[in-house]
Amino acid sequence: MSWKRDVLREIDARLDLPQPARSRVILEIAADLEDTSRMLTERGLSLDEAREQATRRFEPSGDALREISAVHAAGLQRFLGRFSGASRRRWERVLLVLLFLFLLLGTRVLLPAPDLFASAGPGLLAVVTVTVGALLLSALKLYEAFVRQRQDSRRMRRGLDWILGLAGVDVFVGLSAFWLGLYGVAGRSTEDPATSLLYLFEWLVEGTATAILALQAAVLLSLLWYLLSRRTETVARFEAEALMAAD
Amino acid sequence: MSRVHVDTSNLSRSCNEALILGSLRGGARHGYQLALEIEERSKGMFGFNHGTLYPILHRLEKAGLISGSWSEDGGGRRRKSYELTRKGEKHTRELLEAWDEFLDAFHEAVKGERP
Repeated sequence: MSWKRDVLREIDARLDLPQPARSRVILEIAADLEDTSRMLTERGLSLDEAREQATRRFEPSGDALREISAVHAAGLQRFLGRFSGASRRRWERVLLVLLFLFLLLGTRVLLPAPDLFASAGPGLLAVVTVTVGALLLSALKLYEAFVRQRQDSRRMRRGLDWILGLAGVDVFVGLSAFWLGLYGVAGRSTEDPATSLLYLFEWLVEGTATAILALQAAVLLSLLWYLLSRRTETVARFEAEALMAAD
Repeated sequence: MSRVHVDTSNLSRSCNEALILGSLRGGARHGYQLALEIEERSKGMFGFNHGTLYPILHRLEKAGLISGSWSEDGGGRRRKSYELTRKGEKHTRELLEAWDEFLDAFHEAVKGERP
């Protein structure tokens, strides 16, 4: 039986925190627990006495664990905390299925309509650049997670949020291009009111095509980020469990 | 008068924060080092249960007063250490001044003077 395992398992069971914060807290406590025990043996205590004293020092109080959870819980987490874990997982799956359906539907609309790409405005270049960059990063992360099967959550997490950030940039560019186009049309219509309707239709085609492509790219990138985040969380959980099992 | 005040409604918490921030003025420390150092320097007067230590450390980190960083030792084991941020250094200076004022006022009130 591991002497650390009981302490860490108790903390893990009572700590109401999502991953990766949960694993980080356990990792921190585990390292300090080990160091305290080693320091006590260096001071002349027997191994058993040192472990017993270290365990006593680390015995977590309910208040302390609640406070740690409160410190780390973001607004969204506090809201989600009202639902049970099973309920949260069920809704995550539903959301994932809906996103896939949305993407599939979008692809069915887009593929038979290559004109959409041709119709898009100059904002498309920015969207494509950002999306290609994010896809390359995603490909690298997918390779690390599923092909090389890397088991280092800290390294896997590095740069992961860039994918979601770039998805946000896609949305921003798509919507900005849409409204900036309208601003341009308004200006040109003032100069030449006779052709204003033509400009308006041009803007509608260009703007909506760019916005649709940008939103599709953002959904795809968000899905990739979600997939990679879940994988990272799983690895982080394994790391914490391995730590608890270690002697 | 300093801008930072001792929170008299929660003296225990305020005291613990001052002890931790004060200790970190000596440089980066791991959680267990902080607890031991405070215990030794106060000759056992302030004994920290580690369960109490982490919420304070994490709260101070979230407030930007200290920053935690992970490092790996030779055996590949990850450990977290904390150090004061610039904001934390300023806050600690003001907090310790506030504690001086608080203790002066306390002694004045109970004894008529500070020993």
